[in-house]
Amino acid sequence: MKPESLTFTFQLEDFDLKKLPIDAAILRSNRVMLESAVSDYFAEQFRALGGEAQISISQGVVTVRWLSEEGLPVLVEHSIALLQQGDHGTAVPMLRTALQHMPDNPVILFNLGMALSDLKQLADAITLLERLVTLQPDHAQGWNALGIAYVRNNDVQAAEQALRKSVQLAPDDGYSLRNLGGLIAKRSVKDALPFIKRAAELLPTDQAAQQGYGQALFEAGDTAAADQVLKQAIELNPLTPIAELARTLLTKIAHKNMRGAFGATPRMDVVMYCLAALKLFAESPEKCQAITFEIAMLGRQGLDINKPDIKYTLKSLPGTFSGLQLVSYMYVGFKRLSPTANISIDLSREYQQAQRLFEADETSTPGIADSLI
Amino acid sequence: MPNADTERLLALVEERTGYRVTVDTIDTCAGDAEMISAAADHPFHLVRIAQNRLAGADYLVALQCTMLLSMWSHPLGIPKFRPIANKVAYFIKKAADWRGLARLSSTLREQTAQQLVTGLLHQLQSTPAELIGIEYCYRECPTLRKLQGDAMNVNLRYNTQSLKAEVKALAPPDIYEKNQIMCAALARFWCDLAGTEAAWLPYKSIGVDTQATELLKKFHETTGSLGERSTNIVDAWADELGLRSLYEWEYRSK
Repeated sequence: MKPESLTFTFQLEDFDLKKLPIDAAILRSNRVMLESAVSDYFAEQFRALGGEAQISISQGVVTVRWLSEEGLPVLVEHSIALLQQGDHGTAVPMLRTALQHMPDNPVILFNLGMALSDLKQLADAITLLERLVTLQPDHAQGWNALGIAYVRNNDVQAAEQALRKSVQLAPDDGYSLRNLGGLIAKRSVKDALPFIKRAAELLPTDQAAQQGYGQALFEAGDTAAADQVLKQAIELNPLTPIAELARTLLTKIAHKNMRGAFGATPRMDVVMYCLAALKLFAESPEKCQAITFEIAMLGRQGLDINKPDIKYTLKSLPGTFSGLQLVSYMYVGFKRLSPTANISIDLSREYQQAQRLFEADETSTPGIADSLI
Repeated sequence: MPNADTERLLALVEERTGYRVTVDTIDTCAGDAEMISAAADHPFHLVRIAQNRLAGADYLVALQCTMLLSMWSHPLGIPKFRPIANKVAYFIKKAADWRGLARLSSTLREQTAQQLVTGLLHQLQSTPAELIGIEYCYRECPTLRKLQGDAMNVNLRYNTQSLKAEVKALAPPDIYEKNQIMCAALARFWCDLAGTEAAWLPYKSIGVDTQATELLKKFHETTGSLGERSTNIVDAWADELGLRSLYEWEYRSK
């Protein structure tokens, strides 16, 4: 096969310096180093593609001449892989070059359109995606991407039309359903809930879909179902910003449920737990940190404070405990260890009352607190 | 789902040390993550990932796991790097006399000198363990390569901030050079592992390449368990950099 030659040009000033392992200010102050580092970056990119790449930088323009037997299909495939890695800055010029050679290619139109939409170059993105759905009116993903671009462009009406078209073409596409549900939820959670629910069913391992469903349930007032869904969302991957959103919402639910009918009145069971904790930590201060931290860590996985029949165990304290009891112990522990720490649940009324009891030495035997579990 | 390689390392730490790893997030932290090894008053290892680095959490957790595996594999116990107070104090005093710090008030001058010296010792203590962890993850956790590359880019880029002229003017030359040699060793190590060159460019240009290469030679020559390697490399680097008299090792029972 005869090698095909493709030439790409990139503006050096458009290059995202965060892709390089050198501080931007250092690079800007040393032109030679900047050009070497950028050349190295592109050499690495094209090494993965095979063929031969010649990289030159002149007057702020990076020119890559790539000679390959594989040609455009490999380049498009590589560009898509770069987009999946979040490297839009490198992928976009490649896709633009590919588009010049194949202006009606749906794969290029779709991926370049989405990339430009992510980069907030919305006019260009919408032009490409509109061309895509004109050429291929049944391209459900194209309609979905176009809908998102319209949303970003604040054209809500066009966005809803495009997303509805996408859902109509692919009723079992969870992403389109999720996006449509998310858009409708801005005006009516009730109307959005069927779409969001269906999306969550179709995307059981998609954390954003699960968190979105949990949030919609919460906003619709179904806190019991929201609680369950949000916990599942966290379990999918506890270390993501989405999991943090779910945790915040779970804390709100737990707090709301715990206060329930009590309103502003302190809960006496919590007062007793706090009192027991105050006594324990006064008698054995060395245990305070271990117990408090262990409960805090356990809480990251979700402690159910509204189901006293669910029991937990700790390594640092013998016995079995309800979620509410542990949270009370943790609250008291943090008040001792770090009084200004932001504890996500507000037990201040109960804590103050427990403190008064503790200071007045109105002793309650451990049995009182235990009997309230 | 958490990454399979990360899950495997979390399980391995629990199996080898008898304590599970609890992973949490933290609002602010000096680096990417903090790690506290289990002890009697906290019967679990704690790894806390900075909120702004959650995107790379799987790799950062895996890296901290390798450090735990390393610490707990030392035959003498869990190593603790203990600076020798009077020797460090002398080093700080000497640093505070550097003319680059002269424009600061005497309190600030001493604080800055202290930060520079303790920072250098922390770098000496942590870089070899980090290299061991980076190498381990690169070889044993192929599914984390992308995240590892991203994390390394961030770390290496952060290190090069100290190449700015204002930092160089402030820091005593002796401390500055040792710091740059260790930064360069990290950069060269990553370049060799990942087959790139960009990270090495700044260090080549300031002329610390020979000494950094020497540190890496010592790194590769050291043998033993992960834990032994870690402490032995620190000692070898300290000999090379003239820092060996400033600290000693203590070993906590497991």
